[in-house]
Amino acid sequence: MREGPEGEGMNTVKTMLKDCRNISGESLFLLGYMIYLGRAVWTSTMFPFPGRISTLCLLSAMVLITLKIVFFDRYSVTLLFGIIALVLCAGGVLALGHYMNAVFWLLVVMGSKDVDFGKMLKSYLLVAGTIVFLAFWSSIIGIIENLRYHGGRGVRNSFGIIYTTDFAAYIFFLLLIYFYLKGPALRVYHYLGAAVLSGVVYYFCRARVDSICILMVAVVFGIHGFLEHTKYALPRVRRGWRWIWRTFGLFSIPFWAAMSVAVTYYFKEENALLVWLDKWFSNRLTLGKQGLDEFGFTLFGQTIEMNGNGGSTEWPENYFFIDCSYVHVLLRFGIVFLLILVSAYVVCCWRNRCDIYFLFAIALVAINCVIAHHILEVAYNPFAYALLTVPLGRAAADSLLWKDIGGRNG
Amino acid sequence: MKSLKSLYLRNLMSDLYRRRVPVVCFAVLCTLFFLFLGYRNVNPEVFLSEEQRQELEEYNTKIEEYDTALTEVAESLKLANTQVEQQQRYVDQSIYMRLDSQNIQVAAAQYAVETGGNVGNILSSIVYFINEGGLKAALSEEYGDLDVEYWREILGCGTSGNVLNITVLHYDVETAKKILEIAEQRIMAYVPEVSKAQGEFKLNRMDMSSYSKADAGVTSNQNNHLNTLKNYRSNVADFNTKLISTKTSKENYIEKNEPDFLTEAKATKKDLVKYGLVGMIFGAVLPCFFFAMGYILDNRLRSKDDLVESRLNVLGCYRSKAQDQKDLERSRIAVQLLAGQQNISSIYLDCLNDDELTLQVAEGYRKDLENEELSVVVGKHVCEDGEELKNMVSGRTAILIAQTGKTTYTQLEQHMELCCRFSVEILGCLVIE
Repeated sequence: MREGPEGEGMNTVKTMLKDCRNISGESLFLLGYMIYLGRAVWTSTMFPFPGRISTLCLLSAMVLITLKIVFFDRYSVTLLFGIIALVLCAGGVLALGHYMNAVFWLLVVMGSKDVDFGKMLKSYLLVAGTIVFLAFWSSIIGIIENLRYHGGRGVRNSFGIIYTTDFAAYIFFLLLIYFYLKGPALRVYHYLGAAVLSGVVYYFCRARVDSICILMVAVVFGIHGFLEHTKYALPRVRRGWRWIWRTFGLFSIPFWAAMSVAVTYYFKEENALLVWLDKWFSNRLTLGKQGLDEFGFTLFGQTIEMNGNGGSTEWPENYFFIDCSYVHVLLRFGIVFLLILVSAYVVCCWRNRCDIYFLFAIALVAINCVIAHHILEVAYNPFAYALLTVPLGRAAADSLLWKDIGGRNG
Repeated sequence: MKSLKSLYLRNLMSDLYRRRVPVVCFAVLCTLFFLFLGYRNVNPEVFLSEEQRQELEEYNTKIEEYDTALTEVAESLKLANTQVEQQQRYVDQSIYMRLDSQNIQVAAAQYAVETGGNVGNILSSIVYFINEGGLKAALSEEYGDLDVEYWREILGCGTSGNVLNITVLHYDVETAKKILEIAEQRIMAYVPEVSKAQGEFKLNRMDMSSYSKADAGVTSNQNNHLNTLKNYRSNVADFNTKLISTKTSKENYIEKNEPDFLTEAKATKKDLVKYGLVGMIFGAVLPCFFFAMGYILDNRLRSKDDLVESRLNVLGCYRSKAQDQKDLERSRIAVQLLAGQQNISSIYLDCLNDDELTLQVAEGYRKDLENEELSVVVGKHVCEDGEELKNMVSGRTAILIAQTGKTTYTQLEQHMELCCRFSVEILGCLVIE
């Protein structure tokens, strides 16, 4: 507790906040996070959203999170220096690239200090799941538009979301978080359901890579479930599986980031393999290469105008959009921010290295971010904010309420 | 502090059932709200602000002006097309336009009027009959394809004294002669009529001849007709251009000035049902959302069942609204038996909240539980008050007393950690609902 008049003032406000229906810092942050998340998800749907309400939501979310940081958080000296460095970097991105994304990301990360990550994920499931569900049914009934794209791959539906791959991305992330939270409680029907869902998403949305990611959720979690719960799995195989994930799983994000940037940088039309890869990824390598050639590498990013699909079925004039998250962040926010982001993910993985499900989740997010630009988007990827949260602690120490107390419980 | 609370679907269902009246009311309100939105879309003009009404009025006025201009241009165009059509037909079909000005075939006849009466009147009547009267009445079928429509220009007459001269111009001499014969027949048939009015007279043919001539005036007249046709065509083209230009102007105006509230597709009455349906979905989903959000944000104990799932030994439940407390009575007996079994001599009732109900229930439980062999102490604030902590530790056995809606999971964990630290055995927990 701080002492002196200032400290007394802070404590008075803090006491007032706590007294107001027992508000804790965590509740304050979660409320702000839900508003911020809800706004982001709502704007990605075809529901109308007046600009003033959008701004109000954003401001109120930032105010709530800032209140939590100011009145409830305490920082060690090391952490404080780290935060200052991040603030300077985000400030650089804002000044040079004029993008607020880095600032918002940093604010939410700071606000999530000591917040239960499980609660954050449940909040995400609740808010994003509800809005996507409402958008889906509203588009089916016909209140909002279901954008249908007709092309070489057949009819692609977006079900109330602004673009078909965005809808598929929502399904992927919602499923991933559900599987992560369920963890050891997953059963065969979960994996089968996910596999079926992957097929359904592909059939209606023709989002190839998102459907494959959904399938991979079932496969990766399924393999783990099989190894953990079946007597047929050799202990050596089980140990090896865990060792691989705990050793290499920490580096999923840096690995895929390096691969994506390198493949994009060295992309040439003379290389038949890369050309085939580019065709399969719907020209993502070509567009990424074009971006790298035209804009180059910068330390703190630059303003880059991108015209992508979404919001209407008309193909935009001068289409230019970099879907690969790593190249997208590299060009817009700079090398420094990309390195910080990648490091943050590595640190998250390190902190959660005992939680193998977390490593699965990050690996799948890392793969998804090769083809989609959701690495930093609050509407899609809540794992971007895990840095300072309290880990879910599935394999960690004591949960007293759930532990036998003197052998009398249960 | 780790969150150990899970979201139980059954808690959500029970919350929804317990608050079914407000939930149903909310669902109904939501449906009505969406129906209102649907009605607004069906009849957008009803809900406009003053500014919007004015904007709409100006817009409609301008559109009306464009429509009026388009109608006028369309009518003018129609008229011009008719003129072109008629002129074209005249140019194509009239005998005069087919005349070769250098080789005009002429059939002529002269007639003398013999009368004692006024020759001038008689000749006037006959001339009038030729120029304006029934001479050009339709011919019967026996005359084949001869058409009187264009005889006006080729059939001329003149008088000199008592002589009537009739000429017929044609490109074919035989046809000219035939027309002259028909004209003569009709004139002769008309003579009795004239006689009735003007007095008896005789009309004798003096001569009938045919010849060819050249007449530059015919060329000039033909060119005039062709120029007229050209002018009419030019008018049509102008009107077409004006029509297209007015349409384009209208479309541009609509694109730039159409009010936003009109650009949205207007809903039909059938869409009202869709809006109602979506309203019901929102009305059903949103309460679930808010209750679930409460579970996530709120760290408080919601029901005894939450602790049962956590395997904390729930000894009993005090229901504030119940008449009798059989559960509490049963738990008291169980605790007494347990105390006897394990030779427990002292139990500390640790109140996690210091409100009146908790203290009241604790005190009542203490009175019922205490006997000669078992001493029971009620206490609170063990985390803050050293004396209370000492009391709890000295007893070596504790029962936690929690209250739903007040006690948080954090508090429970804190007290459990404290008990663990000081080796105080927790027999279980009493829940006040």
